Amino acid sequence: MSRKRSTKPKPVAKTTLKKENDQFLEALKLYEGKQYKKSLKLLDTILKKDGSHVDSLALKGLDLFSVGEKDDAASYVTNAIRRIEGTSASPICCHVLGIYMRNTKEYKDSIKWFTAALNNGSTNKQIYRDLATLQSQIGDFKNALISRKKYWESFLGYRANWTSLAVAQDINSERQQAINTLSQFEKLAEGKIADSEKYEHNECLMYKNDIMYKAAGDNQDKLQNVLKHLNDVEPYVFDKFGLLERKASIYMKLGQMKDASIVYRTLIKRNPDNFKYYKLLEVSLGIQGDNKLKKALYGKLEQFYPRCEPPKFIPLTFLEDEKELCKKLKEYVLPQLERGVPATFSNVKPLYQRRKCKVPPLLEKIVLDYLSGLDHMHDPIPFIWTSYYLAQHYLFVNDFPKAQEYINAALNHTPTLVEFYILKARIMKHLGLMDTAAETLEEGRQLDLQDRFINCKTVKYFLRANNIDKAVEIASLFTKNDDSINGIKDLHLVEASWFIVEQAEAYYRLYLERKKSLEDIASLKNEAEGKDSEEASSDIKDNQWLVQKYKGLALKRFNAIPKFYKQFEDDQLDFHSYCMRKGTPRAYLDMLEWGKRLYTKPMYVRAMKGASKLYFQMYDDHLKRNSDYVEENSDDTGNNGNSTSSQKKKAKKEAAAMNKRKEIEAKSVAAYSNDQDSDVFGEKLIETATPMEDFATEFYNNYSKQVREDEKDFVLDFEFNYRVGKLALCFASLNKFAKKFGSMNGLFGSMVIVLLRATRNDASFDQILKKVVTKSLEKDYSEILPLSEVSNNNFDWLKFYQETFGGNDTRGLLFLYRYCEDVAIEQSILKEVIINNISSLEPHAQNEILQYQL
Amino acid sequence: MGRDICTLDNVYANNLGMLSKLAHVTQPNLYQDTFFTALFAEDMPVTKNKKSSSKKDVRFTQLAYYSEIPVGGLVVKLVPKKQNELSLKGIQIEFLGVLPNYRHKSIGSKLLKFAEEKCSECHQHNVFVYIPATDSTVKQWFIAHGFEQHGETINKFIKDVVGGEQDAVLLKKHIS
Repeated sequence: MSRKRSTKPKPVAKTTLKKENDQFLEALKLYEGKQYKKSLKLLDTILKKDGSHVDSLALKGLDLFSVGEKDDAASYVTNAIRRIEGTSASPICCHVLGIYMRNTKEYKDSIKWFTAALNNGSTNKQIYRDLATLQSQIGDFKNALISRKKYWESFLGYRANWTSLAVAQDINSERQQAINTLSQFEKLAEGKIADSEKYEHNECLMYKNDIMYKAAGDNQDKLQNVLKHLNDVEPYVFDKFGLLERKASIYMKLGQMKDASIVYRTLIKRNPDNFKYYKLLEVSLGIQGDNKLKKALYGKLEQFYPRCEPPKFIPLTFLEDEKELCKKLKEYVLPQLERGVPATFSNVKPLYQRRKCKVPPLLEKIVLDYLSGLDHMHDPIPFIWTSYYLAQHYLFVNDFPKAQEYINAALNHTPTLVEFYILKARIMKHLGLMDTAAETLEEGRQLDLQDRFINCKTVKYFLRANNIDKAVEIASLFTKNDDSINGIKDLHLVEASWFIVEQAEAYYRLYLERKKSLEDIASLKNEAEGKDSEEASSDIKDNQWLVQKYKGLALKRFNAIPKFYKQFEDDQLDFHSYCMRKGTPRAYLDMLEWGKRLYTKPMYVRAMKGASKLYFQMYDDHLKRNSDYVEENSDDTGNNGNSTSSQKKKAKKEAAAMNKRKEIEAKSVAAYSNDQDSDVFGEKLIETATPMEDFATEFYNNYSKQVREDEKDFVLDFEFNYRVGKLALCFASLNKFAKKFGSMNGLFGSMVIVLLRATRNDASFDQILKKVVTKSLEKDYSEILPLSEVSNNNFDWLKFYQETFGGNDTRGLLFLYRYCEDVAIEQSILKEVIINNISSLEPHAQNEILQYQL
Repeated sequence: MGRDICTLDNVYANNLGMLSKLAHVTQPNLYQDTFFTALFAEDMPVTKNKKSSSKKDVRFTQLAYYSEIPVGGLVVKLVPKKQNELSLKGIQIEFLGVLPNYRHKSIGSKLLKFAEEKCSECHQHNVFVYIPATDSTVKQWFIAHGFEQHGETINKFIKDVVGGEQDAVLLKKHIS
């Protein structure tokens, strides 16, 4: 251990200092031995004598954290840090603080203290490894490379250190160095690889080839080199698919198509069910555009691999001649129906999607013909699965009555097949009959209680039907409900995001419904002033609570999703060292790629969009609130002014009843255990004074950091920036949107009008920004926009919109509807336009818009 | 095909719904829901202490699968003692049904065979069933499978869920 001095210049005798130091080191050892209690005891004796002993304070913080007293720990650590100037503490102290920060997941601070420990003279080289891990975790690969190198220099005897150095070099694009590092170790280890290390060796060899391949680019000589290396290592590599795939792509790059095609044929032989290889074989043979040759090729392959899908299926994607296509479709679909393959429709669904005009009518005819030749008694299995297929077919082409006809036929024939109930429910869902759909699934679920799939489906449908209680009850059949009355906590624990997001959306819908009915009741009450006011007011109170509860819970559930994703991000931490030790650099790099796109995954985006509706609404309400609040308050004060004691008593009683009710309800909605969550109903979430900031920190920042430009949701981007007043950014999103979808797009039209109106005289945006935006709009869109009418509230913006942008894009109209006050369009008129517009949508979508968006 | 396309398997608490669905479809309005729930509801005390619940009826159940789809079901009761003059002791078939579209595939025969095997296992010599007196198809089916009528028509023996009553005949088959 290094010699150390107390950082505080204190007039203490040397002997005491030494004794103190020894005691501290003893405590440190106890900490390392996980004897936190004993360590704490010892530290207390030091601190009793010298309350400002920084090292002890820091270590005590760490000890306390380890025994779970996190709040106390934090106060000791802050106390210690307060006594340190900058980072000039003893190296051990810095190290201790670094470990503490790592435990509390403040990685940047942790790095700061680890670095300080080294700068202040720590000789503990292990710190470099921890440092490298943390630097990798926060994405600081430049410094991670330095740390990796230092650690590698100190411990040359471990392969993991060589691998991690190479990975760090590779990430920093020092490819040649990375290759050298790997080669150097290979040389050192030559002939000494034990059996147990062979897998690691194989991974590292392939990894080296990866780097070489990346470094080679299109350079022919280098590619030859890569190929040579690949051939050299072939006997040691276990990943034969990876090796062959690499080989083929090198041949392709070298233009040796014949060789490439041979390798692809080998690959097909190894795994004749992988569609990718067939596509690449086409490419290597140079016949992608030639249907005749392709037909011949697949004819041959079908003979070679008669039991495999791809050679049968792929021709269906390109055959043009109707007769021939019809024949092939028959050969593909009918045997499956005959065998009773439930997934027959799913198998051909890609064809339905890609060849919408051609395939569906053909298959309809083929399958109907086939069905007419079946006898429901004699061939029950083909009969039911063919009916099932047809129901799916008609559902796909939006012919709901026919779809129902066929699924009912199947169900009447065999009422014991769960699949049929699922499909029937799906058809009901498309018809907008959410309750019937859920009931149908429930009927199917009763048949097989141990089927997890239908259990989940039923839960989902009940949530769609806004029947949350029933959904939770069913979901709880499959969860671990130790001390809670339902599975909500467990579903959070196992990160069942599908459930949580569906529940959030259900709560959101209930919130909207309740809000509407609250408004109705309130207006009724105003009409019938005085009469039944007691009943009405308790009704209102009840509704108010429900509105608040549903809103809070919706937001609470939406907010649970980013927590999972943060956890996912954090979970990477262990792998920065684990993958090196196990020798799986390729998988490690895949993980890093995954981590870079984490916050753009569909579930995250879905939760973000759901939450955005609430946050945006809260922000807009905030703006409007002032006037509303004054009214409400005056109401309240009026009541309070002349309230008698009996009224007060009553109010008190009501409040108590409310609290009791909340307590009971809290049990069934709590998502986390009590000590982890003080905001069961999300009340604090919805009371925030800064909704846009909350939205940004919880959802949006992470998303916009990671999302690729071409897949970004520009509408959300626009709406967000519009609310935080960044009009220039709005314009940027608008421009990008126009580039992607054209400037005649209905949604573009709505956005551009909103932005244009933001520059009107009485809009509350920054003057300079308005000018900037006006200039930009003038520059790019002066031909489309009536720029001179900006501030004219009497200008018929709706007419302009309809004339310029066609005006029948539902999304565009709904967007305008959300901003109808800003763009000076009469809400009721717009509503009518939208209602007329949505008649062409399927019933389910219509209902959704009517109920929850208008 | 190494495997028979038609197989039998036990009924479990989790697929009891199948049995009840089959019964409701093949013989509508005859069975109370409690008839099925009781099959498993009282199952637990039985396993716990067999002696005290010796009064409870012993029943055997079975589902028939055609190509993995449940299409038929069977519930039989062990009647170890004669209940009255007219009745028999042995195995009583309480429910035997196959979905209409899957008949004539010997599925019912298989279920019946299961009942007969249970009969010998329990050292009984009779399999018997009460059927509606007017239903000649059912009667023919049982007679074709070796049953014969036992005694006279019993008036208003079968009572259904909606309160209707039907005359019944008792059919029996002797198992040696």
